[in-house]
Amino acid sequence: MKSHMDELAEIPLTETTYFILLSLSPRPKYGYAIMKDVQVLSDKRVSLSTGTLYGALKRLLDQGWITRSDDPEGAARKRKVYTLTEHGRRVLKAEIARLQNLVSGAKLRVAEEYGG
Amino acid sequence: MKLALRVINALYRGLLRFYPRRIRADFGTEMQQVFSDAAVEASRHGKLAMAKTILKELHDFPFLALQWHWQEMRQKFVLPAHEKDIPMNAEQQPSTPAATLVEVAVGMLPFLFFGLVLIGNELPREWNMPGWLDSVGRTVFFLLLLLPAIGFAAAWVRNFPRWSYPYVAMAFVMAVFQQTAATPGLNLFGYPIFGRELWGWRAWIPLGAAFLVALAVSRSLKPAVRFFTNLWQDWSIPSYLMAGLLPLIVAGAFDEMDRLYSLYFMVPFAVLLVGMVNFYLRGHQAWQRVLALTAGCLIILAATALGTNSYWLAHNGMSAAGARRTLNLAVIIALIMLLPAWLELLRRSVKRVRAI
Repeated sequence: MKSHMDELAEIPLTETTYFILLSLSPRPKYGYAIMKDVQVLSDKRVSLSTGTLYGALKRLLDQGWITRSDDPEGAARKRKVYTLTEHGRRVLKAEIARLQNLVSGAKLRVAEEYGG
Repeated sequence: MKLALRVINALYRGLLRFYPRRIRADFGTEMQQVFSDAAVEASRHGKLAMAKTILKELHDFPFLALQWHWQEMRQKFVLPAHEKDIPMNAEQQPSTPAATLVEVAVGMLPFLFFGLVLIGNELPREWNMPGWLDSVGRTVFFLLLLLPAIGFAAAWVRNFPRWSYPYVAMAFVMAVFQQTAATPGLNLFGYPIFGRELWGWRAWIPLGAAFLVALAVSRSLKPAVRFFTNLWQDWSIPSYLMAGLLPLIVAGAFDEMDRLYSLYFMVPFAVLLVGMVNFYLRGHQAWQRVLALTAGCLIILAATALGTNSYWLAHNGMSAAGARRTLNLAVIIALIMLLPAWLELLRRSVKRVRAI
């Protein structure tokens, strides 16, 4: 059983990892859906190649942050879907909390300086 | 556009062939499918979008291919067995299967052979050995060159198992030593060999021939990679390799001494060497193997230093400084030989603590 400290040790995440995990947080997705979702979530700033996407997915599978299974909806194309594991979800939450802290700190400073 | 898509997909399929086989087996079909989907989507937005999709793949491809090949190589060769993708209970102590009886016997063979040669050389001439025994003794000298070379060839073909490393050390050092030596009076079945000439490059013939035979049989240079990865995966192996030089060190140290005096050392040394190999190769755990090497090397080197010092102090009036130098040399040799094995124990302890 991994502890909260383990998740803290695994952040900060790279942008690619963060967006892939974020893309998988509402529901399992297959490769191309993740690729498109990452583009939407990053406002078209992060555009993954197939190689980069699968390199990242393989690493996340090795780390146990996601799992891979047959897609029941895409059975005809033998598609695989990727699902966030509990541990992966905790890492994502820890990263979001870290980013929120960064942003709230910045907001505070902006409010002080510009009297917002 | 359909033709263009077909061509692009075929090109991508070709690109995938540059990724490691295992990656292709795991993700190849999926990657092809995703690329195909992305290309179809891009084709709806025109040629520029299509070009961007292809360029994106080409841009990332070299780095990713290298990265994945590196990871595969690491999995295959560099990572110790207990860190590979094989499911394993974390609480389990990584242990290595002990050598089979045949492997132990083959591993002992050069030490036993050298031991017998050392004993044979120290038999006093006054004991009036039969003439044929003397001929056997001379012929056996050639086997000292041949046996390690044959062992080297077998080791290469068998992908350098643990037992084979002393053969490698012996084969190389014997060739280096013999290169600058002449063997006047030495004959093989009555035929003189090179007379007073130095052996020179001819000393490398047995090892060179063994290498060519091994290469012809295995048709691969991969055993050479395996040789070094084994050394990296288990640091007791470099120590074991160097322990293969113990018989030569002992032979050099006891040269020019009263034969009966040396004989008293050579008999226990031969037994110790064979015992060390037996315990090293049969040990399941790293500490058992390191203990076998440590005990064998330390006893032999300490006895060699003390034995030579006592002899030369009594017969040659060796100075105290000379005796100290001999002892220091023995300590340095022991440290060089055993340090990798001790570091292996330390490395395993650190890994065990980290796993907890």
